Amino acid sequence: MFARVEPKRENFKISDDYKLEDIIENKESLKELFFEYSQYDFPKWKRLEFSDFKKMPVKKYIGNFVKEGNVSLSRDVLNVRKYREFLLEKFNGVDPKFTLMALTFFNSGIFGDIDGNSKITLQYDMDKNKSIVENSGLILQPDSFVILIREYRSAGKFLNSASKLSLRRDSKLKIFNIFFNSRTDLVISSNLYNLEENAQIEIYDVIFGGQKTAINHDANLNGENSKATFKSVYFGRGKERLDLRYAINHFGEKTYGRIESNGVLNDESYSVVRGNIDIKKTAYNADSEEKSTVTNLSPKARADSIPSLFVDNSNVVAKHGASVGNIDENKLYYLMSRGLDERSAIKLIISGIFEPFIDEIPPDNSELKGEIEDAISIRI
Amino acid sequence: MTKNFNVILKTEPGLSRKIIEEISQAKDEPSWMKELRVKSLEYFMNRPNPTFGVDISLLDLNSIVNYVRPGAQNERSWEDVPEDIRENFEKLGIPEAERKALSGVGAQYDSEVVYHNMKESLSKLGVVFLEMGMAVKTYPDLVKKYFMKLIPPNDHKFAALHGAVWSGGTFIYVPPNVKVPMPIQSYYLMGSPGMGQFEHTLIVVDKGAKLEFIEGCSGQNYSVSNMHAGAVEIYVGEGSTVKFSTIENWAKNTYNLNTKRASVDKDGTIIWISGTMGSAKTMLYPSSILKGKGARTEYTTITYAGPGQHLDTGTKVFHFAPYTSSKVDSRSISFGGGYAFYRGLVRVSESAVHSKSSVDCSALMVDDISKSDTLPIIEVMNNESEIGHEAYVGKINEDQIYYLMSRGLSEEDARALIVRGFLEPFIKQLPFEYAVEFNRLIDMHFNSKIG
Repeated sequence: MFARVEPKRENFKISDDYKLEDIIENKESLKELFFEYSQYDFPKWKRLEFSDFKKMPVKKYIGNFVKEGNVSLSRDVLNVRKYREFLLEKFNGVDPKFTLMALTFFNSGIFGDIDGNSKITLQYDMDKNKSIVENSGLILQPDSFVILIREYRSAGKFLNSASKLSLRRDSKLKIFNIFFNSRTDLVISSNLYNLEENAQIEIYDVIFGGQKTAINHDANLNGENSKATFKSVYFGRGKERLDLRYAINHFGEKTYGRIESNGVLNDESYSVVRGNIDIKKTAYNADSEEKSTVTNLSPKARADSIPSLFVDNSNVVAKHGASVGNIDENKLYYLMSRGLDERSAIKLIISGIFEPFIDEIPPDNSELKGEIEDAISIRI
Repeated sequence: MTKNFNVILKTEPGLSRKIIEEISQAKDEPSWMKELRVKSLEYFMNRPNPTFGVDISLLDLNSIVNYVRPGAQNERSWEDVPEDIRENFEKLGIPEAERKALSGVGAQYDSEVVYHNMKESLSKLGVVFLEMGMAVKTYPDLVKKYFMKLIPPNDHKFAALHGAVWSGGTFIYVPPNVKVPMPIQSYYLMGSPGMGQFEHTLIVVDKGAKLEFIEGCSGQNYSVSNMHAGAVEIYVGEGSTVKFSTIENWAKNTYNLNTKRASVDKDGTIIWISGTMGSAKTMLYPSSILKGKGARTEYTTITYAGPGQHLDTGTKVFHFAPYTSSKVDSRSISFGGGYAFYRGLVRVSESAVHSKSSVDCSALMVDDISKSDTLPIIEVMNNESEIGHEAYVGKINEDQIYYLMSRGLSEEDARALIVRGFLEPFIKQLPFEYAVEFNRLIDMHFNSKIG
């Protein structure tokens, strides 16, 4: 078959990179990974304008980020061989450099090998912990069902997270990743999902900041009938830059994929949304769609949409759609004619964009819904 | 199918400053053109290969002969063209088409235009239709003003190569308010093995004028690779309309690395009709630069990738002015192991407020061994534009096949009929003789006997 020529990874060196002694615990078991980490230079990203990295000290996590759920801390399971192997398994994520960094230098993260139903809530406090480096992993045993809520809050400097989610047959996973860290300089989040037959994931990203944010989700639909749904909402302001990548790789027959992103941009913010649907030869009768919508509030904001469909099998349905537009003048006019001032009217319209996502949040996390409403309000 | 004939001047394979100067001297060019060639060669030597698209690592540029002048002067009458060359063109139906419907025909065999004619009435209107090399000598100021200004030689590696070795092609100038009543056509044919064709098409359409241009390309198969790196530059003046139709059916050993670009002034319109079905590997993305208020572009394109073909094609639209609009309908078919890749870009700049763009791309996969990818990029830098995009990749609907077969069609006929239906919007835009040829091609590929 033909080779497709792809752009090369561009990189840069820094003089002061993380060293072996920066590893917080379990230096011995992480030595090999560290060696691999040090082989890589940092990636250069054009759209995100990322070409410099200042090493932030990664210290032992202060406080407790596990609010709810029966899980172990990642560092505590490194002495169990099979879990260690799982947690330290490499993957590409946003970029191998950052993913290897998270696997090696992590100061937080959870591990769970879950049977049955479970709800997990993690709250990362970036006020007390200026750098958060997370390495998390979950194994969902057959027929299990897990809801994971992850909140990253406050200023901080640097967030780098790597997560591996392995779903055995007929298991189901729902994740809410909520980023309230507009003043954080750099936010990196890499997520890998492997799904066996009939397994399902539903992933929600709600993003308010950081200054530069790169989020990557890679789902491998290996088993027949496995399903992946990604939904994201974001609201950019100031000079925030955001690069989101959702990739669904269809290997199994009758696999199903949906990517849906909804963004609002204000000031000079800039978003890039990449949706990659890759349908392999084996994926007969796969069904996959992606859609991205951006509402642009400012003449200086910029929205890029880069959807790609790679199709190797003819027995499939694959679609994508994208649109970028302004707030609907008619809606605005209508609301203002009912007595709302312009700001309130815009707020109402934008809340409407977020609402379907907020509605999915479990009722016992209702304070989160209020926080999202407030975050919207601040950004208009 | 086509015959070989005696070749008069052939440069040594490969590239050097000496060869470039030789070409320029043989063509008796003004010094600015020679300088442009030499400068382009420098860019070419220093530029890396593109980091996207098709794999060109097996393309040996040094072995490709860049300049082949066939044994013919630029003739005015069809009868004066040497018989073997004429025979090749006759097979393509050119003289007949010319008599019937076209305003003028330029035919290029290898590097030089061998036949050139234009209806007298058009000359009277002031329309210039010349072989490019001749235009450099006849209208030096006009050519210099536009030549490789839209596609600068340092734009990319193959634009640079083109700048260094370009030969032949077409120059058209349409004066203000002249509406050319019939299409003008050029036909390019590659006849020698291991050669490169680098024709340059420069079209300048002044205010309020109108032009339809048809470009056909083909070549015969040799075991050695051929290469095509042409350039098309179109200047659409204020309020004028240009329709540019292309059928590229290069031989299956050709690397087609081609550049086409149009700049559109206020209220002007460029319409691209583009069919890519030949070549081994193609990279082609006709671009529209909408720089005047209210400028428009429309695309109807198809890519038809069969066995052994990797066709990476697309469209690029740059909205640089307010109230500009673009509409793209791009389709591709892959079959027999072919690989079709659609790559699109719509960029809406900060100043292009109230712009509209809609992009539709669809791909039809006929079998299990073929491949079809799409990658349309949208970049929007203001909040007063409406941009929409949709894409679809799918298979031939078995229900439709079943239905057609129940009405008495064979499976092959049913498939060919569906493929033709999918390509309908494109075929409809083609001149009649091309449409017929195209339909024949589909029937041949799908073993169909109707048509």
